[in-house]
Amino acid sequence: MQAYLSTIHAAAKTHAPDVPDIICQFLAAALDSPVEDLNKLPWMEVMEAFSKIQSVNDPSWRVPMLKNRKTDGKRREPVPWMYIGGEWYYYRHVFSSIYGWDEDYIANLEIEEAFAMMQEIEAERQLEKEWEYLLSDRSVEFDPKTKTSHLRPYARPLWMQADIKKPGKVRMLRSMMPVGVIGDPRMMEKLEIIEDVKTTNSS
Amino acid sequence: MSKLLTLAEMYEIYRYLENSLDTVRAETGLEDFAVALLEDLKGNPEFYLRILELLTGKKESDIIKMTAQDALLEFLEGLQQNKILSFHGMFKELSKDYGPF
Repeated sequence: MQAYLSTIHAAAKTHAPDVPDIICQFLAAALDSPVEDLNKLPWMEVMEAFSKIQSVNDPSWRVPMLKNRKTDGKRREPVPWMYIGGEWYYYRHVFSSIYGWDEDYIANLEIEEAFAMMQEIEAERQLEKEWEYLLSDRSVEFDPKTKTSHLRPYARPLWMQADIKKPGKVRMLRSMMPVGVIGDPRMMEKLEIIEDVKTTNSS
Repeated sequence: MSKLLTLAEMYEIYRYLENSLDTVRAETGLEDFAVALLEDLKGNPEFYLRILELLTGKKESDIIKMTAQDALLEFLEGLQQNKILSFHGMFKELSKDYGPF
């Protein structure tokens, strides 16, 4: 399914003539119905089904690794060695090398379960890298001015970072407030208008 | 009465009209939009004919016999009924960058 989706997006980008065929093939695979029947349906029904199947199989709202993937606002460029359908081989390689699962078992995993396992693998790899980094000289930075060393932590991916919370309200003692009358510029403008009206009325 | 198009038919029309659709904004009325489309199709009467064929389900020989006004009405009605602007928006969304990571 992932291979179909990648093909659909790549074809849509180049406006290839076979986009409807690939969408119908995707639906046929998902619904287990013949492509010929789908080809006869109105486009709105076909695309509605496509959209629903996509959202049902999208685990991004449940798994933090996928949920927080675009929060830095940067556009992710595909790696130069990526190819159509490459994601499937990546998952297969990771799962089989870590757990020793065979192709059929990986293909039949629930999507949510597969991404949860993938997140565990990625988190463990990251923590291992952090540990190795801590043991190296690069993790410590010496400041010649203060003649002290500072820890330089290994960068974590966005999905492993804590959510940034909005700053809360800070209560301030009255004695700490500035002395004198504080003028609100918006109120000053209103007062000026009232003054203007008064002077025009009196004249 | 226009027929509801299949995905393949709609995509064919979309590929003819894509450039014109890019200039259309949501607030533009369908009539203004159709006028702009017809302006673009002036140099390509065969596209206009093909779109009418797809929208009406009639043969080329029958379409040629239609009056210009009837053809235009069928064209407008067909595009409206098949929600061409929705298709355009949806297709733009589909061609956006996508990836699991």
